[in-house]
Amino acid sequence: MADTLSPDALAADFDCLMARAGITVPPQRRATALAAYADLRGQIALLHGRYGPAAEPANVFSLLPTGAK
Amino acid sequence: MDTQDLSIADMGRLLRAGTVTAEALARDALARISSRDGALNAFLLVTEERALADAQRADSELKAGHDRGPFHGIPYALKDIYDTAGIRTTCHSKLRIDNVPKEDSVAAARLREAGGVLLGKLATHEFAIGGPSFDLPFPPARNPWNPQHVTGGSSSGSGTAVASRMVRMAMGSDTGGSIRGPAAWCGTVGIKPTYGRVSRRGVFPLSWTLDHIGPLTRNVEDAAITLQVLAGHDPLDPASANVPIPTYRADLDKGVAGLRIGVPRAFFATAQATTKEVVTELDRIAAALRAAGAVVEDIELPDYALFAAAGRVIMMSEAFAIHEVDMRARLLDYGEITAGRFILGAAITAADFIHALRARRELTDAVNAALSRYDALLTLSALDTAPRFDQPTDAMSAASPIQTIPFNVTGHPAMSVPTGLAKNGLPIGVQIIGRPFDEAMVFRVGRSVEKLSGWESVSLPGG
Repeated sequence: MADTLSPDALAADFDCLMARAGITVPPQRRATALAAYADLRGQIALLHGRYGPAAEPANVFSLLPTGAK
Repeated sequence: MDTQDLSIADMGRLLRAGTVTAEALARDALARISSRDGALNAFLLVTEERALADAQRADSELKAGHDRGPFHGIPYALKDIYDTAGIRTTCHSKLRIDNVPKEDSVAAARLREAGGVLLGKLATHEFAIGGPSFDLPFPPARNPWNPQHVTGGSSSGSGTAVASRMVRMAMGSDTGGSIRGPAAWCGTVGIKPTYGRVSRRGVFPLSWTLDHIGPLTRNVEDAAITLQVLAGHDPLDPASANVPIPTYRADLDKGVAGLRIGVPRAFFATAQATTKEVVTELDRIAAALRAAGAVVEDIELPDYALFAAAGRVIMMSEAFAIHEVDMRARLLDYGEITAGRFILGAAITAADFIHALRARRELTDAVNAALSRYDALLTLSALDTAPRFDQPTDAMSAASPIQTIPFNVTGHPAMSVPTGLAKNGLPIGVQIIGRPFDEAMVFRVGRSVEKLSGWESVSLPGG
């Protein structure tokens, strides 16, 4: 998902994701949305391939015994 | 008596001396709102009847010897994402235009219990993200230093109301910088407390794990007084922390001699949007802190871009989960900017989200490690002064000029403090970051910055 896509592939990817989510993007807003998606994809690329299996996400949690604060 | 420049502490002294009444303070503030807000759009709703009732109650109680503390009789306003019992709470959105909550948010209840006087509800970017926009039910707030310029967001009305001297304190919320951004661009103090320090219950969420609430104020002492009212454990807020609360004003004037302050210079030095003028201002503040006895050194943190990427992925994922049903059914009822930002949440994969959470752990550890060597960090709040409405910037994009999201990702307390005016007459602010739950240190350093910068002699708009 973080590979560089051509503009056409990026647009197709975006349309597919919006369709899967059940969202209809009005034609007059599509160009702006696509530009924002391209920007977001660039940011997401920074996050991929950075961590090995031992790097755990921040939402891994620990339980406390009942009654503990 | 002209009350608009009285600090919260000074208002309190005069109230207790009987020199002024809470009703007089409220009426003065209502008159200022009436005369100034037509051009600035800070308020979505002025609650005059409620304000006068709160004020009269405050006066009666003081007369009877019932003193609720430093916030007793103090006028304030709330960003319109804070639930207020019986008072419309719209999120600046058509989708909630008729929403009248049955209960107060915890913050609103605490301010009421502390004797505060509610003046009204303030403009925000729609759902605390979409703006500034002209396609919403209410117009956007304007920057009081120059109404052709934006306020920053999303606590736009809060920044405007405080900087234009309508009110000393206005509550905001901060998911990626929505307190500190408008504070920097409007020339106010704005603190995002540690994640978990202040209950978020009853404040409409944007992103549960990034949302923080806190005040925008005229000065650091006002912020410390307000946070004293707001801080505390709420067992019904799952993020709320049960940790001791210090007396925030105790160390305010201790100065910075002997403190160690780290500057993550690469955050702004390598950013395209950075202007020389704001860096010069930060360096002036760093030099002043050194002259006052602090050790101020450049430090290394992970790339700013990694903080921004993790923050945006987490924010958009959580926001989309909140708005998913309405995005499908009522997309065109959202403003264009809001909808354009929220739909991106549908394009984020589970793996993207998990990688962002892995980054969050790495980044939080890195900031904690830096703060094990330094008492506080100092950086810019924004890379430039407030842009014009006709030259908008995208606070959500990788090139955002607002430099605040790292500490939403990590949860550390962070405060923007105004330091001076740029050549264009608009304010510049710096940001001070502290260890988790050490807002007292943030206030202490912030108070020194406020004094050393010369900001206290700057005349605010409308003066």
